[in-house]
Amino acid sequence: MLLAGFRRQATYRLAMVSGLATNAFFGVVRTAIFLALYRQRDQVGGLDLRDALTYVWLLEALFGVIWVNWIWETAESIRSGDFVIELLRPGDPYLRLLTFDLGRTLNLLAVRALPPLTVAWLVLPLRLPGSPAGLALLALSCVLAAVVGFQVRFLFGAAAFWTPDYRSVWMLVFPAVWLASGFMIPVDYFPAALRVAASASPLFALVMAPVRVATGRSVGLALASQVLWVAGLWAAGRLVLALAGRRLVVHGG
Amino acid sequence: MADGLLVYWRLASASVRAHMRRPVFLAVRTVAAGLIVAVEVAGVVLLLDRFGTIGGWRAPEVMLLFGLAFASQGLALTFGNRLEADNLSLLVRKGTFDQVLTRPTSPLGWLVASYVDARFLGRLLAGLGAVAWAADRAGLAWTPGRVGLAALAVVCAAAVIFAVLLLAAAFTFVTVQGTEAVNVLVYGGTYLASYPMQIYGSALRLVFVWVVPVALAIYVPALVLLGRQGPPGLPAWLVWLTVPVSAGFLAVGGLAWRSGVRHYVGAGS
Amino acid sequence: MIEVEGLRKGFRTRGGPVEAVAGIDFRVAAGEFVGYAGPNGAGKSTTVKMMSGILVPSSGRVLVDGLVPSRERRRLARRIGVVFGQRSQLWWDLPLRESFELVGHLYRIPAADRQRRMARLDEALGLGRLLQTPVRSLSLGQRMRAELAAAVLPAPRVLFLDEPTIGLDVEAKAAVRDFLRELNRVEGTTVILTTHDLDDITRLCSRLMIIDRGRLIYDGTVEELRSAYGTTRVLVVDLVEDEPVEVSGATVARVEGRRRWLEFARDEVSAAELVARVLAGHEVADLTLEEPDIEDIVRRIYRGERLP
Repeated sequence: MLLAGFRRQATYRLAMVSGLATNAFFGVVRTAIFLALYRQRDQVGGLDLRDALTYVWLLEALFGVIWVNWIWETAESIRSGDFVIELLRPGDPYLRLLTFDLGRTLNLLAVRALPPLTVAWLVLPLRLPGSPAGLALLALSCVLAAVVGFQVRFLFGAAAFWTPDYRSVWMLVFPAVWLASGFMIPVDYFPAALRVAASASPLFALVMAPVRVATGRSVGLALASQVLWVAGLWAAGRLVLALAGRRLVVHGG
Repeated sequence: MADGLLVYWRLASASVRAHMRRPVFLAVRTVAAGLIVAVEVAGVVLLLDRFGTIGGWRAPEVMLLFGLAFASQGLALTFGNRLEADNLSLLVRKGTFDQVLTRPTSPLGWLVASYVDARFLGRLLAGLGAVAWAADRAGLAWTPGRVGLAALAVVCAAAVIFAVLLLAAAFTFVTVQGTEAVNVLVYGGTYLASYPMQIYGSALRLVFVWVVPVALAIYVPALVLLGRQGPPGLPAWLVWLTVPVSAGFLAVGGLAWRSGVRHYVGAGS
Repeated sequence: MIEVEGLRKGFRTRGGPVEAVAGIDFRVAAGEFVGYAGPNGAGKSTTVKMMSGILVPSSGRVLVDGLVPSRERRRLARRIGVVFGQRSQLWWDLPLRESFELVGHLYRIPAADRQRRMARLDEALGLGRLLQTPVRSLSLGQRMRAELAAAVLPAPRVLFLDEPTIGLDVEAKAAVRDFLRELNRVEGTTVILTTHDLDDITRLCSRLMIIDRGRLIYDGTVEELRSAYGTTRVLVVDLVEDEPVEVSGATVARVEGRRRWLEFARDEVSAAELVARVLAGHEVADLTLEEPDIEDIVRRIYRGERLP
């Protein structure tokens, strides 16, 4: 047990370092790609080189914050039946889960998101806000992105209330999530119809909205849409919990 | 020898039969894998469509690189997905690998044969499709020599990726835990090799041409296929080194695997 | 059949090096049925894993059927069977029959031999109805019988068992034990049984080895262990009348209705003499002599009591 404990402890540190290394590597390669792409163009899809590089490093910074390694925690506790306890405890279960998750996520933001972003900002011509107020808004936007990240993960995890094969649900939807949230290329490069659809989805709040806030394009709109989606997904999450709660009562737990 | 191979064939077909018994599961996984392939292809196509060229290479030429990289990744993962850090770490922690070692077979052969993952064949086929499409758009006529060269590139790059998986596996045997950093080389390496090498700094080039020679196996044969000259320090004649260097790297991976098995610490009691 | 000399295995951990097996010596002759016990983390599994070729020893020597496990792992694998109670070596999603066929191919057993042997195993373990069932649908008891059959199908010279009866109900345990006893008797298979269930050991094993903190602390028969540690025995007396009992040489350890438990030291008074003394003063309906509880003894050994 002691041995296992030690290993576990070491794992966290190892996972942290290797996560950072992964993000740094992809950041460097993407930077090289965008530097080469923008050699013959000044602006594509409304983004110039500085915007694109800002996108690259915000993406790498937020990646580990949004696709956290405890992604299946909720689903697994639903499957094992432990989740019922969560529902029975006094207070709002959704708010409690969100707060707990946000605690861990803020830690990740500090450890995993800040270092690569800072280094990139020192080395590359990123377009980050120059004023303290602007930086505060960017920080707020990143936190909102993390909240939406939790909410999206929660909704997919809640599939476990209805099917034991919740991972399949996720696998089928994930490719679209991946593309539409701008984790592969900026949503701005999409053809018009796809771009509009992606921008109107909650996935926009994950990476693209913070990029908007950082580069100073329609900051207000981006933040407003994030707040709106936090509220909307909140309602959706509560609804799912209510439905699941009724279901659990009907089936006697 | 033939008798030995027959055993692995039986193991592989047993794993396929086991999959067949769970048709819904299999269908979902296959569709999901196909969707990921489609999305990844779409990402590159959209990017190239927007920008037209990168590093002086036109879209079809880049598509050729992407296709070769994607196909080799698919080939390597078809056989080696179980060696991937997280998967292997799970087998080790569950004690499954302990049992594999009590079988009268090679543990590597067992893992490869028992977990052949047909989902990644889709990746191989999609990659080859991209290569065919790119060649057509680039006005490349398929001579037997070119087909051979493309096949060689895919096989050599797959061998390099497989060797990376072996190195990662050796690491997992000693630490029990897998590490995400290794996936940088598997997924990051092919991502990097999907674009012409001249856009990267010398350090990245050095690493992926000579240390983990995945770019040597993809980019250099592509140069020859397209009749292009490489950047300084990366001439097209290096294609002659593709096979020996990839084979050498695979051998290093094999040695690491052996040493890893000897230092295997088990699942813990 | 098995020779172990100065065997050690250390692991490096963040907390410093840990020696799981700290110098062990023993020999097991062909046909022996050896129980291997010890508290959690004592080094049981590590020893078994070194004997079966899974782990490479840090130092020392292991020979199993004349082979060095770590160097001739694949050759050895053909001659040994290994069953881990909590893990399956069968093909989870396939009908049981296919697992046996695959084992037959893996160990290069000619089809005719395989069928003949399967028929015998089927008779001993009652597998017939299960052959078409996917392994994942088998009950734990059924699965364990199947695991045993798969492990002994290649007629191994040595069988390593790790907790083969864990989680089984009484009936399934009995079936597994009967099978192992017969296998050992009829085929002369050497069996190394690692278990927490001392009942398994007392019912099956001719010899018991106890390991603690990486060292062998006992190696002998179960009876020797009893007589060495079990200095006190208990005579259970059912009286006709409910009356107080006083016999010299024994103390009343427990009273329950008309039943009395009389504890006595074996080297002070013999059981026969004590019975005579009881019968002289009381009318007795029934008498039984309880052997010292092996579990109790082993627990005492684990707690650090040394041989008297």
